[in-house]
Amino acid sequence: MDVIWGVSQNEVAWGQLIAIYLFLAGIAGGAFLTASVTDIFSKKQYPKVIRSGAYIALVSILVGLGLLVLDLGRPLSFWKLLFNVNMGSVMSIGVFIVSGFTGLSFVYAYLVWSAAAAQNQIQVTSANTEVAATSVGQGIQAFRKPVAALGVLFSIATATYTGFLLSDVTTNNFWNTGFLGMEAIPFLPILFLVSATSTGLAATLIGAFRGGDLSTYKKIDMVLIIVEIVLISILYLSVKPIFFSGSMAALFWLGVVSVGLIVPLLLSLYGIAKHKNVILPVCGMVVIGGLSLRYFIVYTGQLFR
Amino acid sequence: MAKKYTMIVNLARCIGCQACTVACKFQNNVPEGQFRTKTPANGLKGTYPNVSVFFIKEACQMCQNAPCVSVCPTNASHYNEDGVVLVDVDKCVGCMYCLTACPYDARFINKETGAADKCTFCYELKVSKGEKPACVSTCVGSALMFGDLNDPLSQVSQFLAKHKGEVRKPEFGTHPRVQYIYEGVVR
Amino acid sequence: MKRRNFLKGLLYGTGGTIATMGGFGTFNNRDLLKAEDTSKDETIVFSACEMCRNQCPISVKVKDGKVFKIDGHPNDAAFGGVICARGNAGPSLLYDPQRIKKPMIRTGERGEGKFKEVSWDEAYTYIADNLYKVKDQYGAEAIALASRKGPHDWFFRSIGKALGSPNVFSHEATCPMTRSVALETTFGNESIAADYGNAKYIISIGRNWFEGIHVAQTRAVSKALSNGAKLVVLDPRFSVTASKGEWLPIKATTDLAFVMAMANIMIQENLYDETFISQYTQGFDKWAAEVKDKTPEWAEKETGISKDKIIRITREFAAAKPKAILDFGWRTAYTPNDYQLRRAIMIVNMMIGNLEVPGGYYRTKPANFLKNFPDQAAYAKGLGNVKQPGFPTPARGRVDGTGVKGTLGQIIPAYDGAVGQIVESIITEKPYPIKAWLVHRFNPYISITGSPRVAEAFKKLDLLVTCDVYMTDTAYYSDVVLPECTYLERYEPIFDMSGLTPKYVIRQPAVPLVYPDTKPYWQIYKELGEKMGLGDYFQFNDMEDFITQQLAPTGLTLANMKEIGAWTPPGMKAFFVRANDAQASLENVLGNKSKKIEIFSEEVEEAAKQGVPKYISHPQPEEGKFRFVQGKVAVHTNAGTANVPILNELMPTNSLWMNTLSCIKLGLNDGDDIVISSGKYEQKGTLKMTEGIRPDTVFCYHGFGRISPELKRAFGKGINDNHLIPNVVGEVGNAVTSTTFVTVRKA
Ligand SMILES: Nc1nc2c(c(=O)[nH]1)N[C@H]1C(S)=C(S)[C@@H](COP(=O)(O)OP(=O)(O)OC[C@H]3O[C@@H](n4cnc5c(=O)[nH]c(N)nc54)[C@H](O)[C@@H]3O)O[C@H]1N2
Ligand SMILES: Nc1nc2c(c(=O)[nH]1)N[C@H]1C(S)=C(S)[C@@H](COP(=O)(O)OP(=O)(O)OC[C@H]3O[C@@H](n4cnc5c(=O)[nH]c(N)nc54)[C@H](O)[C@@H]3O)O[C@H]1N2
Ligand code: SF4
Ligand code: SF4
Ligand code: SF4
Ligand code: SF4
Ligand code: SF4
Ligand SMILES: [Mo]
Repeated sequence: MDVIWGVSQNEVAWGQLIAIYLFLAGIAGGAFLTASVTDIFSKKQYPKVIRSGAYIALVSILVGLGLLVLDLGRPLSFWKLLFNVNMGSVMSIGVFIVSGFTGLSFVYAYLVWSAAAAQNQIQVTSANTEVAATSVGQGIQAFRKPVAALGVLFSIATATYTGFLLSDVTTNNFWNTGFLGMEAIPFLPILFLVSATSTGLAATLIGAFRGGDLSTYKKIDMVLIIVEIVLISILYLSVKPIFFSGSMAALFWLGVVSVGLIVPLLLSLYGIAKHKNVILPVCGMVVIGGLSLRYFIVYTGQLFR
Repeated sequence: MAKKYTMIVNLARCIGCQACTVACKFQNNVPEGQFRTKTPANGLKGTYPNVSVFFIKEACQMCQNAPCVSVCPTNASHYNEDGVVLVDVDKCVGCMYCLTACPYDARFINKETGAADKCTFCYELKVSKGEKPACVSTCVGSALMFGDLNDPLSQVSQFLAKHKGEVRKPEFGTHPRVQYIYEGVVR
Repeated sequence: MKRRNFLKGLLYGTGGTIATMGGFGTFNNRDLLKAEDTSKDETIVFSACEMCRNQCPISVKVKDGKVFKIDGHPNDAAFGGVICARGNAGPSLLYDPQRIKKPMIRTGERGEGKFKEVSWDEAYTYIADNLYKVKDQYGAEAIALASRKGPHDWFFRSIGKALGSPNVFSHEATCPMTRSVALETTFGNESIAADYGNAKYIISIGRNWFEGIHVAQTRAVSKALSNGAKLVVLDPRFSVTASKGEWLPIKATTDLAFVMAMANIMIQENLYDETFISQYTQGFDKWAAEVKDKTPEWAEKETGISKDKIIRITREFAAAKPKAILDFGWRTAYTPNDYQLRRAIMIVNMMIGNLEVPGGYYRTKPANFLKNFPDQAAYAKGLGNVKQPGFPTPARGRVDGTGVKGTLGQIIPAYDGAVGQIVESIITEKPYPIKAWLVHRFNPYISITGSPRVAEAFKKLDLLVTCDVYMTDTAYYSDVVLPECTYLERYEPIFDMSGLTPKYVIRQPAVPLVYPDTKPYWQIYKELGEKMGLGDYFQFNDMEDFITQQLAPTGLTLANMKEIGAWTPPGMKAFFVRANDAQASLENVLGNKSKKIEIFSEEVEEAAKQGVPKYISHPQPEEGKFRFVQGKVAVHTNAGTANVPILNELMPTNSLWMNTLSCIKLGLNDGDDIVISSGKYEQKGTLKMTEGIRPDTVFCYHGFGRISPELKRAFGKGINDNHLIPNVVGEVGNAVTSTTFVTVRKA
């Protein structure tokens, strides 16, 4: 089309790499949260859950960061983000939150891993070396609770920041939507926190699905799904319908709503009723729903301005 | 004394000839397929034979409350001493946050530098040397004016004293320094 | 460096005539430029643009041996340092890797596009041998030359004229020729221009200043509008120009009815300038008789414009006299009798006596003209000529009958001729065959009506030579292709661009040859001439020498011109003969024997049996058919720039405009792929649905639908209008581009 009479359409600055990053950061946050909370309250009961959560957190945040850097116009200068700080910029703040989070998940994953390793050793090694091995283990294991506690904070921070990153774009009337019309309280951070927790939890459960009785987790997950349904309904009511009818509509109704929320909810209700283990399909769908949600929010916000 | 540089786009005079578009490409060697400014038709209005159209120059609006600056994580996007919004290519990491923040689609990632790029009011190459921006000096329709609002004798001050200047998308509170004159055009 | 630039800014800022005193006065700015030259950072070279033939004065910025930016010449008031989009795109052409870089000779079938690169000497030899072969076999008249009218003609045409061929043509027949002839037969002088800047009322009859750009004219019209002038635009489609005034969507080809009705009303209501008419004109009574029955009512039926509007506009126009302009057009090739329209337009202008007054029409004021005015003589510094021996008188008359008394040929300017006739004579061999065609800076395949017929003609030739900067559609069919360097790499003769004052402009190289095997035209034809034993016709060593010979009588030097780029007589004011004295004599302005403005012309009576313009009603499209019209677009030049990288980026293709209602009737949608059919020929294209055009008319921008695969960006994109328009040679040899009807269907 020619420059004089042609019509120019909105281009998308942030594409799928960013969508996937936001998703993975969410998973990481949710998984770390699941693991650390479990660790703090009932460490003995769910070792598998803790391990799954800790590892998933580390892997997803590393992959996520990788994608983020790849998406930069100048990937090799990413380090400049650490030396030029703008406290007014959510991204700048985010850089430090995520760095902290990544550091913690490293340490935490290591602690969890070394503990497990120690466990194995106890079984294999001969009596005389036992003492040494465990004592070393115990030495660092002392840090585990504080790290977990700190992790709780950073997990929540990471999950919420992904929401603030978008909601802080005041010129984007979709991302910038206020909670129940309240300008002061942006909507996305809340939505992303819930979604992150539920997807992170779901992912963790997939990793630990032979981890014995997980019924408490299933219940928590169901609650989260219901909360998310409520939030999505609020969003639906508080912004222009165009956002849900445009080219992104299919993704929203199929991916986010059906696969991500309704079906898993019904399925888990059915599971509880019939005492069937539906954890894999349910969690799988929740995760897919979470990914769809990020795609939907990222693209819709930029396409329909 | 700091300047208050302003560009005026007199829509009634603009003929959509794109001299500005091309002048800008060469002045700032903007990569192929990318533009700091374009002047497309605003869409034909009315029905035959009572129709009207005007052309509208699109580029950075030089906001004085610029979303692109406030979101920039590295301070690469900044205001210079004369209130001109610029990108420090050195600091820019190309995160595109500013692209998502700009309500005027004025920014793009320069294919060659990988950094954010946009209209600079030709600050470095022209204005700082006392010359007019490339698009202004080549404007065939004499639709563009540029100058210092702090100088009451400048062409822009004189013109705005007589004509009503308006900014685009005021609802965002960005306080642009580019003003449009709608006198004589049908919106 | 910064400071120097700033100073220069100030200097150039002073603008207009004062600054151009530099010609003699301000040598102080030479030091600046000298300093510039030595500084590696940035040098400025004054020259002239050639992205279209308007050759606007430019200032070329060169950095590290590369042109990086082109601006308008800061000291030329009329241009105000402005150039258009195409002018700005100059560097894009200069550095385009798709330019032709070496002479080429055809190896495959004609039109197959197979060439081999050769040395210039081989190319010259090939051309010389074949020209002489044709001359010996068919006579020199079998050799035709056609070029875009311009400074190259002196050199290019010398080859043909020296061989004894009468058949030298310009492109003018496709462009403003009906206007030129109208001016010639009415005023005895075709160099008449309009002072838009000071006009209070301007009526355009298809003249599209805001897309068919001439920087000085376009700016003048803008200025007039800024000063509150009213603009009325007659055009079947809503052009950008129409959008800036009152749009009258007239039925194409009926403009003469509108103009005659204006005359009718002005006579009825006694709105015309009787003293002017009686003092300066002849034959007004015959005109009055001719328009007696051309009432607004009648015109309404013909034109589709309500009589009330016609009356109102006529009154407004007359009320603004003499600062009102009924524009005489530029591309004036609408109908076969377009010539009569242009005459009528000038007659109506004379009815408000707007000749030689500010805001009206004026005769251009070159030095030789000023000589006739004692108080202006001081400014008359005429250019000298470069000696050339007389050319042999051709054995036969021209193929287009130009010059033949008692026929229309009598009024066709021999300098231009009916270029479309070349094609016809090649094919029909009437009045006699054309066997060789030299083409310079012209692309007949796209520019002359009837592209398929042009191609057919190409195939019949023994020799076709094209000199261009691109492998154009015409070059693609040629036996020899000569690569010229661009305007940014060459010297050219001093251009006389006199308007209201004399004005000289230089073109000089801004950078050395980008492709070392390309050459400037003057060198090409000098060398070819020498190879052919016609060296006597090129008595200069190089262009610096040529320019020096030109400038000798003016007191200016090559050095002056190189430094200032454009020169006007220091201190001279715009000169209108009747500015201060409405009764002043127009003796010197009028070139015809009668020394009157010939509303009735004996000569035309003799040649065309129309002493005064008569109305002919052209057919209008029946249901289901559409009138096909075309026009310029701001970001491209004619057949020239479709492949220039940046301009192609801005507009890679054209589309067919059709009114929304007509689209709905045909079940077509915006953006649809369509087939346009003239009955005999078809073109594929895309549809642009718009409210901005008459429902019975379709429109496209000219210059697309290119068939040369070497134009890699433009090849095969868009509609070639001339593929659909038959090659009709009009009354005064003019092309005819607005009388074709087409049908449109979904592809
Ligand atoms: N940007 C740009 N500028 C140019 C050129 C270019 O190619 N590009 N070319 C240069 C050249 S060579 C020339 S000759 C000039 C041309 O300058 P113009 O003559 O102003 O150019 P066009 O756009 O061809 O104008 C044709 C207009 O007449 C309308 N028209 C067609 N038939 C009729 C009719 O029967 N009656 C009426 N009233 N209108 C009709 C068409 O719709 C179109 O809008 O422009 C010059 N300047
Ligand atoms: N149907 C229809 N036909 C038309 C028109 C229309 O509107 N409708 N417009 C008509 C008009 S107004 C005109 S003036 C003609 C124009 O017709 P042309 O004169 O053929 O077109 P141009 O674009 O002026 O340039 C012709 C060639 O000059 C070449 N050229 C450019 N610079 C140079 C140079 O420095 N050296 C050399 N050797 N070549 C160079 C270009 O590459 C191009 O191939 O077309 C006419 N034909
Ligand atoms: S150069 Fe001037 S007139 Fe032409 S499009 Fe740009 S602003 Fe409009
Ligand atoms: S227009 Fe966009 S880029 Fe320019 S200052 Fe405003 S927000 Fe920043
Ligand atoms: S792209 Fe560059 S300028 Fe834009 S926000 Fe990121 S760092 Fe700042
Ligand atoms: S001011 Fe300079 S950078 Fe901005 S649009 Fe004009 S030419 Fe381009
Ligand atoms: S009108 Fe434009 S293209 Fe033509 S000579 Fe002037 S600047 Fe160059
Ligand atoms: Mo033309």
